[in-house]
Amino acid sequence: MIRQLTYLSLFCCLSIIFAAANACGQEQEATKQEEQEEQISAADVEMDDGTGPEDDVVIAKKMAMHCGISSKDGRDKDKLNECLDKLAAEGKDLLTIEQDMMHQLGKDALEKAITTKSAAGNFEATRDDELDEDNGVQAGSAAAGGALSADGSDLRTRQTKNIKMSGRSSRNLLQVIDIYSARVGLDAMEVFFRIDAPYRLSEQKEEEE
Amino acid sequence: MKKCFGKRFLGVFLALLFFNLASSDVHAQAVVTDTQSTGRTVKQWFTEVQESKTVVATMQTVQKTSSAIGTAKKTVSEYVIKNKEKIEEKLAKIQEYKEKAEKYKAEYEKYKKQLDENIAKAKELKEQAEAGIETAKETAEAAKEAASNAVDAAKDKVGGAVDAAKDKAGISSDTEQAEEMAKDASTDETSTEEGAKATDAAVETPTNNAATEPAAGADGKTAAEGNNAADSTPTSSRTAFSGAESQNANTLKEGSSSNMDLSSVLSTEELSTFNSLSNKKTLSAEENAKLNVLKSKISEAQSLKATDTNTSSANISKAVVGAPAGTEVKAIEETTTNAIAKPAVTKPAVTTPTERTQLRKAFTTSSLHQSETLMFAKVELLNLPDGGTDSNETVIIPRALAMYCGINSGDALEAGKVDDCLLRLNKERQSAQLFSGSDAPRVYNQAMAQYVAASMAEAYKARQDADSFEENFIDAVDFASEPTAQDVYDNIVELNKAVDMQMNGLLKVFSTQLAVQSLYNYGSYSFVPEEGEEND
Repeated sequence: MIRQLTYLSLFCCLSIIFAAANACGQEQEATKQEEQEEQISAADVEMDDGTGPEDDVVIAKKMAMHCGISSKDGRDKDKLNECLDKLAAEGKDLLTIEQDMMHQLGKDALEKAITTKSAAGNFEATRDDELDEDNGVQAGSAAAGGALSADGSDLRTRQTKNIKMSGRSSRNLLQVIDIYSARVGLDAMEVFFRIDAPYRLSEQKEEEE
Repeated sequence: MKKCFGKRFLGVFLALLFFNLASSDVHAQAVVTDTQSTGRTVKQWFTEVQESKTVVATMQTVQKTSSAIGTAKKTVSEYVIKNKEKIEEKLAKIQEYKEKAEKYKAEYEKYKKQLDENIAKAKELKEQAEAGIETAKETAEAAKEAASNAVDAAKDKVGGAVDAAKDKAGISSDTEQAEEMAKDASTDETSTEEGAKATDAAVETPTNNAATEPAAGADGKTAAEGNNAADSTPTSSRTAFSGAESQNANTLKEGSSSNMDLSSVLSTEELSTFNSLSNKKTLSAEENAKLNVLKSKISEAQSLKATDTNTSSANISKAVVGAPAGTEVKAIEETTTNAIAKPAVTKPAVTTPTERTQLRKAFTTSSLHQSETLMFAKVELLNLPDGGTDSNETVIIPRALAMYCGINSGDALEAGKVDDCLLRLNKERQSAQLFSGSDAPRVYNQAMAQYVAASMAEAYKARQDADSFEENFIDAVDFASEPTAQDVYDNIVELNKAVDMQMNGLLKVFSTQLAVQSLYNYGSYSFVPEEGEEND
């Protein structure tokens, strides 16, 4: 009798554990599914106003609306070329488009430059503290100063610090690329309006003739 | 017997006892060759040796640990000292930043005060201009009235002379004189009418110009064409007027009462001679000559009087017209060296009434309303007015721009704040400058100059850092001692930190370049707020 009771209770416990594990698994799957759906929905957006999903201006809004392209088309050389031809064909009306576009690009560039400059200026003052916090070391503590720990985890801490530092350098490099590409984009649009657009217009007129 | 048995028993007992005792000593003194115990003994010796080694090792470890603790303590104390120094440095920096912010605040208050004074002066100038217009209008009307009175008086005089001539012609037999007099009378009438017309025209033109010239000047437009017309008209009216007057003088007859008191011109003797000769019917040549001399005297006096009248009317006309074209008018007087510079203004070219009306409208709605363009940031504890330079001495926005818009480095990081400021500046640059009081073009130029200077300084610093990077960081790490693995990793971390710092420097330089280029674009393209955003 007792044996039977024991087997029964064991069976109940096991079944409860199994059910709980199942439920957890299902929840994780649901979360994963949601994430996948989000990813799919972001990728499925075909048209935007030239501003990417992370609020970065890839193409000026006026240009995107005029040519019917989105931020994803920014890497398509042929589509961009077609759009520039379309803009150049505007002739005298190009002036208002130029004002709008250059204002938007200039505004975005100026804000990006100012915020990056401010963050860069603040970098050295906060870098060491941020690194220590990333490693779980309290800023200002003796461990942060390099004191040896009793449990021998110093080596691991240093290795982790090293990796974090490499990550920060990569992020800084990305920001450099972002800033410089904004500058190049701004200059390129200026050159387009000043030199390229009239040339394209003249070419188009010759072709029509 | 019993005593003997007891003694015997005691002896035996003692003997046995002695024997036992002696026998144990015999055992102890005997050499025992037991291998097991020997082995045990040897093992024990080894154990003892090992234990003593452990003791020694432990002692050594203890020493190491205590020395490590000592090193750690030293490291900790060094770190604490360094950290304290860092904290003190930070506090000193913050203190310096606060002091700079206080100084800037004082400067900014001074700037604001100066701006308010300029605006008040501009308003005053506008009121003066408006008052001037009213005065000019009144003066023009008075001149017109005076001119019309003079014309009426001249007409009366001519009429009187003509009547007198007619009367004379009716009495006298000298028909030639009568014809001459009649001819003169008619000529006088015509010239007087022409002079009256010219005077009317002259008065009208100054009246119109008086209303518009100051207004047009207030808008800061180019020179007036009307000035030339106004300048010429008084002269022509003067000529016509004096011509009429001289004609009138020729027709003065004997006994006719002129407007002029002859006693003030001629002496008593001359007056009596004139009267007598005038009343004579026939005159000899000598008498005629005398009479002509006296007449010429009278006519001179009369023309002088007429000239005075004309000069005063001409002066009124000139005052009504204002300064000649092309004069540079200084709008605002400088009071301090830090005052905003006065814009050079030339008078506008106004030709048609429609243009004048439009200019008047532009003048009345000109940018005197400065309160909407001036935004003064709320001074909070963490958001101090710092002139666009933050606590790390990074020039976020130029000082001139920060003062113009009343924003600081913290505000500049908010999305759209700097864009709004620059759009307002551009709008101000394009509008009338005379009564704005803020001198927007100068603000823009100053802002550009300051930003360029700051970017040049940053570029030079970056170059210097790059030059000394190898010596200060790479060599220091290369030649650093690395007794333990931790030290190796420490050195790697230090090197990576240095690389990260250089990457940050690169980021700073590029962002400065982008900021300068963007600010330049705002000026060259002259972006202005869209129509719907103007009231924001």
